[in-house]
Amino acid sequence: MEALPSTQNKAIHIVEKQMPVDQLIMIMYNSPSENTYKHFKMVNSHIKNGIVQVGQVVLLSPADAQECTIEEAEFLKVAKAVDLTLLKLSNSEKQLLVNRYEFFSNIASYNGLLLGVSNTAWKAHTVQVKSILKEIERTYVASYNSSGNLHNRNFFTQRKIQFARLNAALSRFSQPALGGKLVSGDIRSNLGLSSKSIIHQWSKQGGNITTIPNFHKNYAAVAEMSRNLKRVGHLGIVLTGGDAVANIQKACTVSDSATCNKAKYTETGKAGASVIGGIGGGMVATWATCTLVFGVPTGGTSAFWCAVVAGSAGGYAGGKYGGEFGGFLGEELYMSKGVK
Amino acid sequence: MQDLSLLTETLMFLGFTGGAGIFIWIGIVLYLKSKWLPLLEDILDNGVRFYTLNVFFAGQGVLQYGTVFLSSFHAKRFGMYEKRDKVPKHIQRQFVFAFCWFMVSVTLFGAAIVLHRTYVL
Repeated sequence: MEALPSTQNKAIHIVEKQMPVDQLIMIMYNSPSENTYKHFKMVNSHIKNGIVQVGQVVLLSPADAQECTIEEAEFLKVAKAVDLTLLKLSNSEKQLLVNRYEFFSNIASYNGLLLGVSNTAWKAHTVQVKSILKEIERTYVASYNSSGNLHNRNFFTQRKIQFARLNAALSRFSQPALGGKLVSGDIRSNLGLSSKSIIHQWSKQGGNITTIPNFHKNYAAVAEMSRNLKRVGHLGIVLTGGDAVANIQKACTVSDSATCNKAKYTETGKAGASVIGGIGGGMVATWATCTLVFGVPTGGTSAFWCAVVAGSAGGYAGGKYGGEFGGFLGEELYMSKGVK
Repeated sequence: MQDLSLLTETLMFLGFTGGAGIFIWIGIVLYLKSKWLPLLEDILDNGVRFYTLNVFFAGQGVLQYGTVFLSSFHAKRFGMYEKRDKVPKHIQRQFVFAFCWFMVSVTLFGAAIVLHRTYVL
């Protein structure tokens, strides 16, 4: 898995399981030599106590590498920044990061907006699942409070629609699994919504009914995923921002001050314009596709997907061309200022 | 030091103006999201909460409602022709303004990119 474009001939790997560093080297390299062990440990000196942790990033240099290169030194800064962020994550969050890392590393090369869009899509997904769960609970409670049973026609009709919506939401392609009982398929049995058992518990409880017993666990699963996504998204942004900073630092370390100053202008221009272009491109593409061309009605699954797909495509194009344009502007500005 | 050509100066003007415009528009979207968007969802979309889910969708909402207020054809297409009259005029004007602001900014920034790709690359 490669995350930073500046590390050609090398690969960045994200650790999926806690293990001794020697074991990781044995897995990653085919019969590693003594030098390979030494070099790996020198390059990855952020690893503490000889143990690699879930979510940590390590740099895999060629097996025959002897000296520490500039890229390797730069990588160490990124690895330390990742380690600092990892300290704030729980074990389940780190695991989620590992599962989603390939996706992060692919889009990190383009711009932060796509990351924002995907994270936003996941967040919207969790919000929508939560609102359907609430509707289901309301339907059960309202039916019981008004008619004292869960087998009237109105109840069955509403429940069928809500189960279908929840099933469609949980089956969405590329959305994170929410965990717990929230899986697509037979929603009624997955959520454990046995009418007989629910009525039995309610009749024991007596009085005015407001919730389904144990249903709150589903909200907790959604809330946890929502929190995880937010924090993992922040880590992805750290990795993305690291790209521009690493390019500037590299230019300032290897080259003379003129190249370093130039890199500051071009890289900043590139990063800024790619984000602006990404936002503009994403919004225009979504508006043109979903509002003008297809006239997609608000709030449904079609609107959600239309916005995500068109927004991602437009955001990618805007970010790419905007980045090129921003790099050019930065260079022109640098030359006109005569900064040496 | 090097003098800028007319083309570069034009590109800079278009790029910086358009870019700043898009940046300011995000602020306008945040304001509308917190102030009027929930009300418009209640009136025009029967209370379905979609555009207020997050900033990305809020941006879409501002453009969608801006289109509905500007164009009778699209208002009819989305079944909002009669409903839009229930929205106070001053709110309609804010959404139309945000729509126009975004379109002008994106056009300037887009024109800069097109000119750059045509004459520079």
